[in-house]
Amino acid sequence: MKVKILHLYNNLMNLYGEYANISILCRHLSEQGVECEIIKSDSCEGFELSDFDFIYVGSGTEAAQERAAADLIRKKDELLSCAAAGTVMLFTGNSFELLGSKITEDDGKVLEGIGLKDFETKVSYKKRYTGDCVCSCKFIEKPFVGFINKGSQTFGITEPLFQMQMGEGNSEGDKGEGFRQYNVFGTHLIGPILVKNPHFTKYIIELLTKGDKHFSYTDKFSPYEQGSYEITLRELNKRMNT
Amino acid sequence: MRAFFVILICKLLKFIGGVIGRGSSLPGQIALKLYPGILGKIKLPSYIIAVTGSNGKTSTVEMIAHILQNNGKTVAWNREGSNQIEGVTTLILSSCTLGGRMKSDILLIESDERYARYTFSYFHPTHYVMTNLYRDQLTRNGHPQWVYEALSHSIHNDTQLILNADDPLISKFGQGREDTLYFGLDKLKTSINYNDGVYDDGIYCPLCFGKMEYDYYHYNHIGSYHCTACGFHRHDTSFTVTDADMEKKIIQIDGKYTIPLAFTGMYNIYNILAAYSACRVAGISGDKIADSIGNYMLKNGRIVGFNLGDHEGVMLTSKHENSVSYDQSLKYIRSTKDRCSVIVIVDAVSRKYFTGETSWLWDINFDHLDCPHVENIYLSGTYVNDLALRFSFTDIPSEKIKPIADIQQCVDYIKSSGNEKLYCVTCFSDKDKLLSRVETL
Repeated sequence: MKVKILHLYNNLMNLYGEYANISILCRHLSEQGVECEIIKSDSCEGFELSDFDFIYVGSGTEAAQERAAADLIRKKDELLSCAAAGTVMLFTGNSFELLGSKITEDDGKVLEGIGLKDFETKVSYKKRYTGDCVCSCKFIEKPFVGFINKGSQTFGITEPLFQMQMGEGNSEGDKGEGFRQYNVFGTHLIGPILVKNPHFTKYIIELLTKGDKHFSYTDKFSPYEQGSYEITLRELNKRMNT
Repeated sequence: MRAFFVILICKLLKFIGGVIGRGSSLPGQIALKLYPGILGKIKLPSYIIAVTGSNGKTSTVEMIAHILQNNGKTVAWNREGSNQIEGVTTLILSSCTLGGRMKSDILLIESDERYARYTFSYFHPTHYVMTNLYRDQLTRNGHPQWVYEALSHSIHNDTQLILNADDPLISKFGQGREDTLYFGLDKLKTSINYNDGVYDDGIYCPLCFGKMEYDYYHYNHIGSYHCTACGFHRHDTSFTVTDADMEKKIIQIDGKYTIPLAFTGMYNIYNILAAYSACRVAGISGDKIADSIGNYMLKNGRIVGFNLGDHEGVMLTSKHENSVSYDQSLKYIRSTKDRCSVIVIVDAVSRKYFTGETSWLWDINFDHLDCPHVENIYLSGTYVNDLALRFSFTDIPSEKIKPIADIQQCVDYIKSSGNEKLYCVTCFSDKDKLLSRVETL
């Protein structure tokens, strides 16, 4: 079996070591006997999005986000049809805002989003929301750990991806964070969230391999990943309880 | 009269703080509460030199102070830390007369990047040295562009900028400011034709987002660049490292001043050049600067020698959450020739705040340690798993990598094995966890 991966805006939107999400996913796919092909590009021009099984975008500066928005909008229809067809996608950090209907920048400029869901984001240069996170989602039992680092608030998401036990939600006072539509996951958790949450990597692999009836997931023990996750969760829990 | 009392209180608090060993930002904090506009009431010296940037502030300021004092100038300056408005207030009030006049020839200020706008709203530096803007403590700084934005509010028209020409984002501050002075390195034997970091913050132009090209790099995205779209390019320099010989441990500045180096790390060269530039502007001649700074050993504890068993060790204090700082230490180790081992400790990510964020480990190019003379790489501290996982994605042979979570156990293990040189790469937050367990020199 082979999985085709598109790491979109790999230079433009790669502020917090996001490339590691692709590295860890490919390592685990290979361990499961699945071949990986990775295409990296700072533009979605030049290929068919429907050729890919997994599309990933990370976080960038506000200026980089504007560039990415202008590029991605040209493939709006293609992206929406891929989403509806079940392509697995992960948008982390402020790239997730691109999937809503619009982003209003600090200076009032409005960026048009893909409109996969009808939510909108307001960016501010004055206030940043930063902090460690612990959160849970409906389809995976174990809690997630991560970090949020954003200068924006997102409004209008009725079915969020996560419930936050620690850390900022989509907007001030909102415990809901991110969103899921079909197999598209959007979250403001930054950086290598697949590295930090091995259970999420496993879940993504199960989604990617669902179509192959000969495939079955074999659990492989990765002590460093488990250790990293457990210690981070332990430290954050200690923090929450003090 | 109000100023008189506030200065007096600040001086007393500073004195008491010194006796009981408290930090130096509290007296200033109280003074600002009592009299928010106090800094505007002080008669400051005719030279006010400020230094800011992600890396190298403290070392550059120490070198400037050393050169100036060595050449007969009196300098008031903030030593390690205390670089926000409270610390700067303590510095100014405790070194002025009760009448509110500073007696020193020069006021020298290390300033935090994000808070410089507040400090410099009460008075403006005459000269403002900017070293670099990197990905640094992103858990609170967002990203370098965001820091650029915050820093831009601290620059006033009556201040002359002294900028690192080799850093594109720093150079952007000089746009439209005719009197700006630049410092930088010519193409050297150590220059390379590719970005040797994991990521590339020099790909896009900081002005127009066009594609940038480099003639050469000194490290990461620091080098000689130009934008293929708008023409923005590395500015010609007034103060320049024209040659360097790392084997002989010397650099040459402006084609005529030879300076022997106590430490050949590239960041040390930049710090020396920044200090040279500031001191030239303050009226010290090139040969006198060269005499003062040659073989200078920093006293701020960033580089500390130690012994552990039969190992001769060097602590290369780096900054967690700052990949360029790590890359520089790793490249230095790579540039050495003797057989050695390296210990990397990530136990508390920060000394100022709590976080479990380790994304920055993925931005560090640990492959710099993939060289034959590096024999063992010990990993230790609370986040040992994150480190080991990161190292498992390098090309370094796995048998060289030895994760030992407990720092004491790790130290004991190293002590009982081998006699190769030992380098420790870690942050201020964690360095004493090693130094307290070894014999420091």
